[in-house]
Amino acid sequence: MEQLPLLTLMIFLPLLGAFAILLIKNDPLSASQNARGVALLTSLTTFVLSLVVLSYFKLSSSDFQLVEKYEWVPKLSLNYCVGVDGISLLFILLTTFLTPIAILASWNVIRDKVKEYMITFLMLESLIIGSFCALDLVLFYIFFEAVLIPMYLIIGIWGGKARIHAAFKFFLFTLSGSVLMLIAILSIHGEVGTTDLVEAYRYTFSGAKQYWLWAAFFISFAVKIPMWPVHTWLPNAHVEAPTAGSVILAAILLKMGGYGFLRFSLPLFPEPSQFFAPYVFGLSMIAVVYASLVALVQEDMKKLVAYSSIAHMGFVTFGIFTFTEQGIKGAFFQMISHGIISAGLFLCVGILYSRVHSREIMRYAGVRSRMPHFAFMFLICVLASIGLPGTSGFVGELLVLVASFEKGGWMTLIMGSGIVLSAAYGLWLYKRIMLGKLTDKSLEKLNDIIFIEKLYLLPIVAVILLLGIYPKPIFMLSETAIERVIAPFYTELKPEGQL
Amino acid sequence: MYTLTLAELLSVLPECFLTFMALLMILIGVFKRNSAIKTLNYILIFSLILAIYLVSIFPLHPIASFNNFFIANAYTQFCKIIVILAVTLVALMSFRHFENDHLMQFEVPILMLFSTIGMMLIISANDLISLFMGLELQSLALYILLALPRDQILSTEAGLKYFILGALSTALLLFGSSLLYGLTGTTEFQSFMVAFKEIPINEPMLIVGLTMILSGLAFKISLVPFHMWTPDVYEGSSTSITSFLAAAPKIATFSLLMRLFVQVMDGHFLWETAFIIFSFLSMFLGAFTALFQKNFKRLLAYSTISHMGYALIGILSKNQAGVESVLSYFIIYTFTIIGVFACLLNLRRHGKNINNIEELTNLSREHPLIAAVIAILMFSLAGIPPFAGFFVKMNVFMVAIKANYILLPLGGMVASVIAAFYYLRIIKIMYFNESNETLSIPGLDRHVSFETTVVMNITALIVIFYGLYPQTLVLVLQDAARALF
Repeated sequence: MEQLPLLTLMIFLPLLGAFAILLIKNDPLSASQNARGVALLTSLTTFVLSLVVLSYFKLSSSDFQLVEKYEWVPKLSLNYCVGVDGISLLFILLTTFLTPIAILASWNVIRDKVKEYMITFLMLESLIIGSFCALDLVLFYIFFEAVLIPMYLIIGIWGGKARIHAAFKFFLFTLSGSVLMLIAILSIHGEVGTTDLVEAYRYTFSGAKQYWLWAAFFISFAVKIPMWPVHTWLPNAHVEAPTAGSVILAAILLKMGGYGFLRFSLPLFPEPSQFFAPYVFGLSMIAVVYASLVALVQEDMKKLVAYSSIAHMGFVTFGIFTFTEQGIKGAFFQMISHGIISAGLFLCVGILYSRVHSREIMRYAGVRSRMPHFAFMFLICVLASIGLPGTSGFVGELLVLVASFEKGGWMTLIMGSGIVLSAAYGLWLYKRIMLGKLTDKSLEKLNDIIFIEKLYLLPIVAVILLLGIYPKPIFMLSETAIERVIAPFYTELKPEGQL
Repeated sequence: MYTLTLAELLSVLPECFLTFMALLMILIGVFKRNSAIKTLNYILIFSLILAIYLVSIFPLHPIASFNNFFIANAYTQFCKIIVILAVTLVALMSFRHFENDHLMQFEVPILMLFSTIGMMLIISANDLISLFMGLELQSLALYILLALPRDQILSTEAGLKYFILGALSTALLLFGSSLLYGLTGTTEFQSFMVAFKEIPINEPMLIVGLTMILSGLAFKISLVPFHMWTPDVYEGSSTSITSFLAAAPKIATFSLLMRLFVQVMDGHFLWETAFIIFSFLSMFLGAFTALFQKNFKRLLAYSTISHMGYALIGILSKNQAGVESVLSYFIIYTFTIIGVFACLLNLRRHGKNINNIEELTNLSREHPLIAAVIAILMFSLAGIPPFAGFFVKMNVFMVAIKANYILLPLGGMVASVIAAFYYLRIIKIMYFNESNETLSIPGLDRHVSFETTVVMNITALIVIFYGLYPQTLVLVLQDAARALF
């Protein structure tokens, strides 16, 4: 059956929008207004398109769906091959859901070089969707790496005071991780003869080489997600990026690391994954405890949220490397939910910043009395970040904890302490900013969130609660894909059990 | 008795044509002096374009002419086309800027043409003597071109430096050639192939001879440790001449080096080892030293050095895919570097060329198009997808990994991360710096010339297009690379 190339359309639609913005030529004021409009329209259309893709998606099949394959460089047997399974589809939905929100969030905030801003944002969306769709290693690498360019520009041009340092750190950290992956990909190309992912899945790597390959992939994704001790770029990048940039960075770019583990590391190299799993557990536990402790003493709101992200990502890496259904499901759910929660938190911080122009926690007190609506939204986001039952944050962490119990009770204890700590820094943050008496005179003029801010906060809060109460859709969509990810670990374990 | 056949004559037709045009230009120049410079420039561009046509119309079955002095096959044909194309682009983009570059002498286009003929001879050379002839013709013209702005101290210094070191390298090459001649009794490449099979592989005279020849050639393509002249010469010469120097001569000498190594030497172990060392040193030295450069042209010089190192990786695999990867690397490198120089030519503050990279500050506001083009070219040079620079670099690494070289690509990757820093820094200066953060910088002069802008945009488009659709690039090269095997 001939079908529309839905995925390709979805990947390149934002680029088309970006091109349209490039052609806008008016006086600066109306040009930026038009640019905003076009960008929002494009990203909303992409969102609708991703829903269409969802409607075409068959739950029962465990294969990649809506696959499109075209020859790209036949000479080197490289193909343009895209397709989705449950995992990537949900990440794509997350991307297309958050991009319009990010564009709305920069509606009034970004006043300088609006056209360029919108262009880079749409490019970013395109590339992110592309990297979630790619079913060819080289294609994936191209998208994965090209994401750096718009993000570098977003941080560097529209960022805060120390933006240049942050932009460089972000770029060079990620680049040095991913060039290793490129070497590994080329080496796979040399061995398998193709970089087609489905072909590579069928191939069994053996010997010492697979450990090297695994390590190369691992470093690349570990920098991206980020794991301790290569996390140091994240606080800088988050603090300096404009609000919308932080949203995309925390909500989606970090997930590319986790996605990489699920899509490449585990299925391609089951043996080394198992071999290295204890080390990954160790790093994850350090990340959870260390990042939570560091978050506790932050004086900058954005930095606090950034460190909480690192802690939450610790749960993700732990969950993935348990190789159990619960663990991976939990990790996956945690990624989706953290995507939404961290977006919410950064948006809230951004709203405060746009009014007071300070991210210092000490600067605020008793904001609740001036901004009651905002206080409610912020509360939901904070509670979700803590992992309160009924919010989406709870489900993923619980599952990971359950899975960790099988690996060793003491590990559950350490991971659990991370949750306690997250409650400490989260609630304390809320208390210091929102509660208490309004002492500062300048804060008295604060006005509550306006329509446009409600417009982008409400969907986020709604999704947080929805997924907290009814998480099933996420599990349904990703079920078969996750089963495929863990399948090699069970077929390998069985013969051992028989022996 | 040797008789010249028509086919042989046709195989050197482009060279003959260009020589004729050069002589004609001298004639015009003698009578009309510097007032003819505009006419001469047009003649130069016209004859180069015609030469491309002449080179490409003969789909050659391989032929060796003039007693095996020169060969012509798909490989040489292809390399000549790139070289002439590079020179054409340089001539096209720079001739409006000659006045600013203190190059208003009628000799400039003529010398450019002579140098180009020299490069074509190098590409076709099939004998140490014809190789020497080509090298000298190319270099002598370049020495003069570099030193032509006589009132400029830096230019004179650059010319002198290039001349002295160039003479030394030529001497090495000649001495090496004479040793080889003493050993084998021939200077012709095909006979070398036969002779090498009979000589023991570690014959001292052979090793010394080959080393000397390699040193002479490595100097021309500025491989570390023969790179010392590059930054000074790039900095000292006027931008038009630097852009001429940066692309075409490198391709010519590199193509010869590749032909010698792959075809004539059959991957001789001595050169192989040397290439590995050169490649490592060039990549890292180029990357590290460029970090501290403040002068844009010096920075480009070091960047060139490291790119030569990358290109060398491709040679090592000694197969067709390797040759293809190197050729594709060179095509993209040529376009990219010419594009960067086109941007530089178009930028002038207070009647002076931009030297310090800090002078690019605020460019994204003053001239968004040039800034965007520079940014694209820098990302491409850094090897960031989806630009063509990434693809060709990946191709080179892919070939090397297939041939079981793993350390070189790994080193190359590390070097390219280091190198990414200074490419990013240029983007940072253009886009992130606020103008009031640094010293006050005079505004841009309004002197952007049409031809330069066209060249600039073409290179940017090529870099984007070949990044997204490299298949065409790879296909073009196939025949050329096959001719070597």
